[in-house]
Amino acid sequence: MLRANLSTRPFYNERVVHAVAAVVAVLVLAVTAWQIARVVRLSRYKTELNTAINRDKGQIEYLTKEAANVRRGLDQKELALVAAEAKEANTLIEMRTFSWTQLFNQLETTLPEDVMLTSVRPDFKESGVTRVNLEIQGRSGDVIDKFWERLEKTGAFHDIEWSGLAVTDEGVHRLEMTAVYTGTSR
Amino acid sequence: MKLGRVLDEKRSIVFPLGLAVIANVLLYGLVVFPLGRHVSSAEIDARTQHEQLNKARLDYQSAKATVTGKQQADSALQKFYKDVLPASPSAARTLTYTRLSQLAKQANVRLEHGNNAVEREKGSKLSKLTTTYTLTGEYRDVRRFIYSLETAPEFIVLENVALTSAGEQAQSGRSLAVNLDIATYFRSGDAGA
Repeated sequence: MLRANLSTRPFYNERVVHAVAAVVAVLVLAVTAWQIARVVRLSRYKTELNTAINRDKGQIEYLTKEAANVRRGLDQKELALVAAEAKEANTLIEMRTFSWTQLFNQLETTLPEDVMLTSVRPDFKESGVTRVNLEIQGRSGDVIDKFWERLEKTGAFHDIEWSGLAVTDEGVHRLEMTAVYTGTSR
Repeated sequence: MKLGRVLDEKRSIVFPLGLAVIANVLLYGLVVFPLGRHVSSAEIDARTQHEQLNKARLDYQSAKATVTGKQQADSALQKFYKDVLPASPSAARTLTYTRLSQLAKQANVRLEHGNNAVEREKGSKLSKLTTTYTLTGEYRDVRRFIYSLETAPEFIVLENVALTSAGEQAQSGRSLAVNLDIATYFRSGDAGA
């Protein structure tokens, strides 16, 4: 059987060519559709964003003006005065609600026998911080150290410092202790 | 050569397809891509504006809160001055004299001697009446007196507790002698000061 093609312009498979052309046409159509859809979607989104930007700008302008108007209506001197009075009142309330009973209970449980507490004075000058000034005297430095350690162990006294140490001829140590006191208020 | 012949013979199909491909590339390069970038930039702008709007809202709320807070603080202060603190210097004196004597009696301690002084708080509408008492009694009674001061409904502030002297303690056995600084406050305006 003769299989050679003796034609000067041999036939090619047209079906394949048409199929490839059809696939390319479908792809081109799909890409075109996607691009058009994307343009529409992006355009809409851009319009929405621009509307939101303009709306926000308007609101910012309005709120800034309103805030300025509200502030203009405030007398700053009067405001500062009220703030100072409120701070003063809060300090007084803090002083009033300070529990001496709780403080004494804590001191009683920590005070060694050889240490005498001669003065107790809470201090509320620092906002939100209660300091306690304790004047104590002890027969030796060791018992005062012991008291100090016990105070720290309670967890209610922090940053303990001492000052004004004086030792009498009899060997009695007198000093002033200052501690940040965090015992809960009544 | 075969491909060239196919393209040549099928140019009625290939040419429109080629044009469509070129049109798509141009559409992407000239419209879709720049539009996407504009949208990204608009998104950033919108986000920035939104953040600024939130800031402006907070600022406005803070301004309003200042006004409301001031009004509330004003009214709370008036209540504090009127209902909590002694109404006048004489009420303050009664509190630190008569009332403390009553509390001392109830607690079984003796107010030995005392003195008081009024001072105007610096930069304040309030005056402070400080009373210093020397008090004697047993330790538990002194503690009871201090507790009654703490729980009294009146505005009394115990500022300082000090033993009169270590030597005295040793001599008086179980009895204590302590100095107490007790203060109360009143509005100077009420006193006509």
